Amino acid sequence: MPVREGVSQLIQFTMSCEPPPVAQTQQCQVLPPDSTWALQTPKLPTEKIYTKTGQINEIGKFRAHAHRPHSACTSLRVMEGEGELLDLNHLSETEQASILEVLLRDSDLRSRDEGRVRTLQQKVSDPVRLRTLSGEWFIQERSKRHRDKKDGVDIVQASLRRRKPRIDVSLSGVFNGQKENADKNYKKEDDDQKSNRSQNCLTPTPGSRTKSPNTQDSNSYSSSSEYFTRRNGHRGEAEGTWQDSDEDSDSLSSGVAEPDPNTLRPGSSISSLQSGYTLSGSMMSLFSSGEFGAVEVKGRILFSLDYDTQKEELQIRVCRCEDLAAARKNRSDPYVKAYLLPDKSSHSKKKTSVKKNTFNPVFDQTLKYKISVSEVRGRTLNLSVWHSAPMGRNIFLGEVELELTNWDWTHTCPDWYQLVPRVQCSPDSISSRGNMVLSVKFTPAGSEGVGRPLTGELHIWLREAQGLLSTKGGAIDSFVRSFVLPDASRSSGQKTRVVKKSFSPTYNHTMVYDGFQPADLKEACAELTVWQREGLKKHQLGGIRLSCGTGLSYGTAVCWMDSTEEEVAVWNSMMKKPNQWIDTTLSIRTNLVPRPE
Amino acid sequence: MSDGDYDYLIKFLALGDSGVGKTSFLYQYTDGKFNSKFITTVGIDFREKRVVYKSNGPDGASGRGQRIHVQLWDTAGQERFRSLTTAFFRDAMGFLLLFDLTNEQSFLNVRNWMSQLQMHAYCENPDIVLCGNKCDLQEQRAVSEVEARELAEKYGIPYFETSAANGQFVSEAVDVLLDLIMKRMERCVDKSWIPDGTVRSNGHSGHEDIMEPKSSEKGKCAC
Repeated sequence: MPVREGVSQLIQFTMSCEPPPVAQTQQCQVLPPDSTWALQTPKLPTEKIYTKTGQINEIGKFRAHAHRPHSACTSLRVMEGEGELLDLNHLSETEQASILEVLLRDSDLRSRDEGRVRTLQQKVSDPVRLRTLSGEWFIQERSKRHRDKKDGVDIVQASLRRRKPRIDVSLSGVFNGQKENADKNYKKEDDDQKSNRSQNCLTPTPGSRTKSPNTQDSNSYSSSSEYFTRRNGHRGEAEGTWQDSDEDSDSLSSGVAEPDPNTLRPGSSISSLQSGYTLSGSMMSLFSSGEFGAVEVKGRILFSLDYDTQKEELQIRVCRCEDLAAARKNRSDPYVKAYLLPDKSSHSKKKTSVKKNTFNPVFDQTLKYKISVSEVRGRTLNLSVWHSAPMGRNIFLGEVELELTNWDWTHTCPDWYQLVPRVQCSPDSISSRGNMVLSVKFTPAGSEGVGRPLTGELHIWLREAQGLLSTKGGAIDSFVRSFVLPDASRSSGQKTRVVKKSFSPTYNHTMVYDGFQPADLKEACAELTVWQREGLKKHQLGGIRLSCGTGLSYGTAVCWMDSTEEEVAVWNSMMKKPNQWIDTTLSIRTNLVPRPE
Repeated sequence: MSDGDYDYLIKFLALGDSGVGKTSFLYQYTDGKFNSKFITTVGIDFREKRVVYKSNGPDGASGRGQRIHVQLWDTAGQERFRSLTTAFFRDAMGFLLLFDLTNEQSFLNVRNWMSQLQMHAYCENPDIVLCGNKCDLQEQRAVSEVEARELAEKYGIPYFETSAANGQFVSEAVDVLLDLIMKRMERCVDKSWIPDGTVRSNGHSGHEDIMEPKSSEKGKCAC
């Protein structure tokens, strides 16, 4: 009978998608075969199929449920992902772009339908009729099964965006295939992952420099609906953010292409999906050929520097620019922005006014910094020219950088400088290579029930790195390695998969170390280092060390207990709040004290 | 396509193994055309069509046609897109499950697709129409009509032998699915819901304007 062959094939199919070893030793959730669906052929091993499927389906939950029988000290296990979103990294950029285009078309259709429904709501008084006409009946039916009211398209869209690593979409066991992918990733985690080449098109592409911790990002993890809602109603607000807040997505942290979303928005922005697109510059660039909105840098800038020793003030006189590139068709609305690097915060940011519709703007404005002369010597002046797009993202027109270390302060007359494209910082001068976004949790022995877990467990959920800065600049292949010191042995070491060509790689990787007494935490240090891989070579970019930072471990002085204040704070709150994820964004510092190997 | 000049937005989804003809089926349905060249679907796509649905009241009288905007999701059959495509299952109100009559394996996998649907659709027993496609290729047939019908009966779903190439039973299959959805919709809402077959064209009662937005062109398919 042909059906039987089909079943045996199905088993093979499921067997080939082996869950991680952890999963195998853990629970096998058996989904009850539904009598109305299962073929009435008793000899078929239907339940086995369901078992396998169920198992695959549940891998995402093992982090929460799994408790290994063994209790070897500082052993580890790894799980890929948290299972809320789809792992679509195996799809190529072209495929993802093509899918996004379809989603955009759908978004258009849905927004038109929303318009229709709004009209209906005003016209139809009969609630029953309204429910059918509006399609509400379907949403209601579906909500009986899927608790979250998200549309599949929204989940896919969020998965493709993947910028916010922890969108709380409860998928309630949906997406079988996702787990299969996760499995594959798991198996190949150390391999060269051919399938993970598309990261960089999904995350906003920051430029060469690191991004300061972005509070907006961390807030918006909290829930996807909140995230979308916020995006929905307040486009203007968000734009204001780009222009005026400290976030500075338009300058140091972002690439040179800042597309104006308006030019690409099809129809009105009603649905959440649409507004998601509207905000994500990188997403928009998917719809264009490469660097949408980027302009070829040209022109020059005339400015002078002066240091007023009495006022202890650095004065940058921005005179004018000439021959600027056209940001729009024959038009630029330029302004100049200054930073005193390495400070990329708002304190360091100064801007001129915007000059409308000119390639030769005359500013004649002085930007002033209250700063001591000794401090000035450690800084690099960054002057960048931008096209102001009040309704969208500003467009980079060029920049100049001057190291002030050996500046001749007697030279106060203005000079012309050629504008250049974004340049890389000298690697030596960098103290941070970006940020690491992660969560840590300590689960004491027995805190989840008798014998669960058997020993205290340290969970490190490594979500992503932001604005990863390589020595040469450009997007890089990277991975993260972890150790829980003092155990620096191989068995303590664990690493994520390699994420290719990304400034903001999403690792979404959980490392679990067990065998901890609460007291051990004070003596231990979780070291996470980010590595760049180039061919067969790899080198460390920087890292973080989570510990009490005492310099002592079990009474011995150790060099690696060198945690910064922020790192110590994270470690402390983790100890104080067992069983709670502590979310944090930490600077990937370059000054980790090397430990003797 | 002008805005909102339809009464219902109905979402279907076609699924089945790679190469069974989902895209061609939908193309035939929406455009009445066929392209024998195989172009694999990248993940997901959709097509749209405007149809008029005539509900048959219990007395057999057919009411005024209701304008339906059908969105037909097309999914990639390839395994590598599985996680993506199953995510779309929950958005669809009804399903066209296709297999290839000349490819036995695609028929055997129907069972697999059914369990995928059971897991991921909006409810546990959604409306599905089974289609054995490529019925024009009689000499290559590998699945008999009898066994296909048996399978469909076991699941309690309608079965059609279709041809995206010549259009045979393509629109019939979709029509039956549409009928199932409209009936389910009626069941889902209050029983007092009455098909608007009684609406007059010149009255002043509240209901008429709803179904006839002034700007719309009645019954015209914009697709």
